[in-house]
Amino acid sequence: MSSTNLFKTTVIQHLEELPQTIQTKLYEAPATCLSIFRLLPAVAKFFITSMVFYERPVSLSQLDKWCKPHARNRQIELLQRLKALHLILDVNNGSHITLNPTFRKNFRDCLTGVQSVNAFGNICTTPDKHHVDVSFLDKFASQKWETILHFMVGTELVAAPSSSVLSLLKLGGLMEGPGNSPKNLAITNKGFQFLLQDSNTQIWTLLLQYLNLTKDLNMDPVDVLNFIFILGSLELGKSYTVSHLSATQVSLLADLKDYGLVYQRTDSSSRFYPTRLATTLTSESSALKSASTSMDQVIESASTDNDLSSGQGGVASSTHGSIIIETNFKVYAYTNSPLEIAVLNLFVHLKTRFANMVCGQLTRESVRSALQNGITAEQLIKFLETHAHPQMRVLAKEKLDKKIEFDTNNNINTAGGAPGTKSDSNITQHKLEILPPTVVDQIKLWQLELDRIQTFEGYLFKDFVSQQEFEVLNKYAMDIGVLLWSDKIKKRFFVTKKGIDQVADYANRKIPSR
Amino acid sequence: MDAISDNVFNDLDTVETVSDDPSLLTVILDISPGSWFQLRDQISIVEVTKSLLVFLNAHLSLNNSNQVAFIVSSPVGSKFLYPSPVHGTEEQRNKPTLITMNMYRQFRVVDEAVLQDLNTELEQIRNNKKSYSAVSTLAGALSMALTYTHRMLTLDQSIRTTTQSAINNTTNSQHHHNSGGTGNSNGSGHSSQLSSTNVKSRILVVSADDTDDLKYIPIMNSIFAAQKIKTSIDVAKLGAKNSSYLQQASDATNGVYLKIEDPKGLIQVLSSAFFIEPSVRPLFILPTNSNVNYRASCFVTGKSVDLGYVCSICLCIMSLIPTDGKCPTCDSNFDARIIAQLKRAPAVVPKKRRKVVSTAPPITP
Repeated sequence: MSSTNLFKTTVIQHLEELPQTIQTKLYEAPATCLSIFRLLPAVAKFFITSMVFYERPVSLSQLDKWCKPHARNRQIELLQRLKALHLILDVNNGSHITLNPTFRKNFRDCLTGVQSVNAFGNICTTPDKHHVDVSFLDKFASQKWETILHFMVGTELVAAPSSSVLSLLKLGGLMEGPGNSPKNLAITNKGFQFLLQDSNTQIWTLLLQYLNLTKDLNMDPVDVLNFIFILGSLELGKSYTVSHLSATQVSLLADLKDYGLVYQRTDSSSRFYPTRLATTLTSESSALKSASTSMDQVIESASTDNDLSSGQGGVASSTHGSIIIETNFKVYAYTNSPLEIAVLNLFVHLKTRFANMVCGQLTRESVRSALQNGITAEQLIKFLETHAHPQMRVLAKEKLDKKIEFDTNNNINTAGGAPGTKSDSNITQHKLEILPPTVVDQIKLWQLELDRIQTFEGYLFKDFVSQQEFEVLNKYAMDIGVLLWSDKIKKRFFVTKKGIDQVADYANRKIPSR
Repeated sequence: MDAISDNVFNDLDTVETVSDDPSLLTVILDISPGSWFQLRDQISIVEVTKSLLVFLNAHLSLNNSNQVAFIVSSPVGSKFLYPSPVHGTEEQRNKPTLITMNMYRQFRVVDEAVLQDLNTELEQIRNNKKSYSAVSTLAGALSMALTYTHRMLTLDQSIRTTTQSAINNTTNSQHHHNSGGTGNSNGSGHSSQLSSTNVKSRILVVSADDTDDLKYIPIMNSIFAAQKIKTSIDVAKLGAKNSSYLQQASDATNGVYLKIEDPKGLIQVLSSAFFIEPSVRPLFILPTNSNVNYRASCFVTGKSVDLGYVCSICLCIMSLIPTDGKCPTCDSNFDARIIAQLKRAPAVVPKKRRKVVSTAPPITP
């Protein structure tokens, strides 16, 4: 799954790949510490906070006591990622871990509020002559961002984005073509996948490309990253002074303006406003979703404006989310935005188009063609879910409520038990199903059809001396979740590439003869 | 082979369970003066507040759309400190700020509101020493926290058309000081558009009250309400004794109950044991004590009972048999014969019988 998902290369992964010296430099800024902390998975956050106010190194066995056995795999994986970020360091030959001292100090300062003056941007105290409010910023951001997306799907009547954006699109493999002239560029498969992402992922994809560029532009990556992270902690609707920024950051500002992340009235203006696209950069799922929906909303309204002005006419589309899917795989989308229709056309067999809606059908062929373009089932489902019509949501909600009520009515005795102690099956039963389950399953099955063979990189363990030796290692590999396949009779098993070190270590410890 | 081909399905599931949903944390601080007076050698309310503020900041730092609420329960009554229902922003601006301006804004807004209102609250207690009753108002604070939680949860769900617009109106009218009553209004208002049952919530009670004079019925009702909306109640108990009702509250709601022996290290406990978010709770072993005292309290005297009588009609608990032979709650008449049976002094088993039994065996040849 990971190999097919092109946009999962998140900023954290980018950070992991940075050399330690740069990482440590990054941790010197409290705003960066906060933002990186926010981007970590929930369990990792817990480990870090539990160590922030604890000076001494923590032994690994003590850490194990926190986790339930079935979470062990995840814990090991997380610790590895934290080590890659150098947020935690090994001490005492790996039996204990401790928090990176720079990070600890700055994160603690951030929590207790003793950090230096400019850590979170400098708010302009004087009022702006040209009044700028949140709705204006939203409009500005969506207009800029929409230009990029529209350009990608090749909508006519849209001015081409600036050349820096074009080069980023090309560099990221989202568009291709000879030269840098906007007319020659054409969207790639990767570009189509890009369109299916929520806007936050899209922005990060571009920003990461930008970060890769910084090396060629001789920009200090620490400066750039710090500024991006500070942007994430700024407040929407407030203006900040430019004078406190470094030269690198000022030049970065001009580029960010092109993406609609910040608003600056003129290039020489002494203040800038972060837009919603920027302030939600480092927040997680739900805030992202809201960002993308608010974006969609504005995009839609803006596109209807465009249509009206260009004389095509059109009814104002619904607020957000416009797709209805029935259990018979019919899709209705209340939209007239060329962008959305183009995106839908990627995996829906569109049949009819009306003034304010299009309808079509999800067919095996249409979905397969999307899958063959490298779009995953997961992406499709996610897209449909986030863009589902509010009515679908209301129905799903009602259904869920009924289910929960039925459940509580039927086991009145267990209702007295703790809410969290219910088994996992119960939790999955209560998931909110916005899309019809038949459709979701079928899309997954269509993907499975294509993935008859999956490849895994890894190592084969064989030629064990005794059955017992085999079983010890086999069990260990299974426990830490790296086992892919095993054969008891032939005494062979196969582990993932990631797990080889751990299993080899364990083997050396347990089987001294080697 | 099956394991491999199922990957598409499995992967989706695991992604689901790790989701970082925003969460709401409500802190209830019991500031009844008597109990803190007993702790004066170990820790002061100021120090506890400091730790709690850092704890709130840490919670806010987890996620941009995380929310907090802070309630004090004092002998005068329970009160919301944040989000404050009456927020004199004009006054606030003129006052010297208690928190350094350099702090991250999201933190500062909360911390400042809590500190200022806590000060006035303490001031009030100092001024009218005698007018308050000695009964703990924690149960009231708990229900306030639950109503607020419930409101935030429903606000977040699909009933947004009217409420959402209402909130947007308020945010627009006070956009110049969005530190106002709607919390971090910009973020929360918009995050509620899409997320469905996403927001998780928990409540942390910090109490030093050793008297254990909590009202049993309101506490139990709060527990049931908390179960219904799937909110955990965590309890940090300072002071000498365990509070059995609070213990029950956390036990019944999958919360953490800890009696903190050394209050000086409060922040360490808060940032570790009390920092387990509801979304990751299934993955962790909660550091809670399984030895819960499931005591109930007598409906007549209000004292807790270890062994008592139960009305067979309404399950009302009594430590003594009411003199009029009627249940104090549902007013049903008790069977006079059974009362007589219960009232009878324990009879001593006559010795004779025993002897008969013991002499029986030796008939064997």
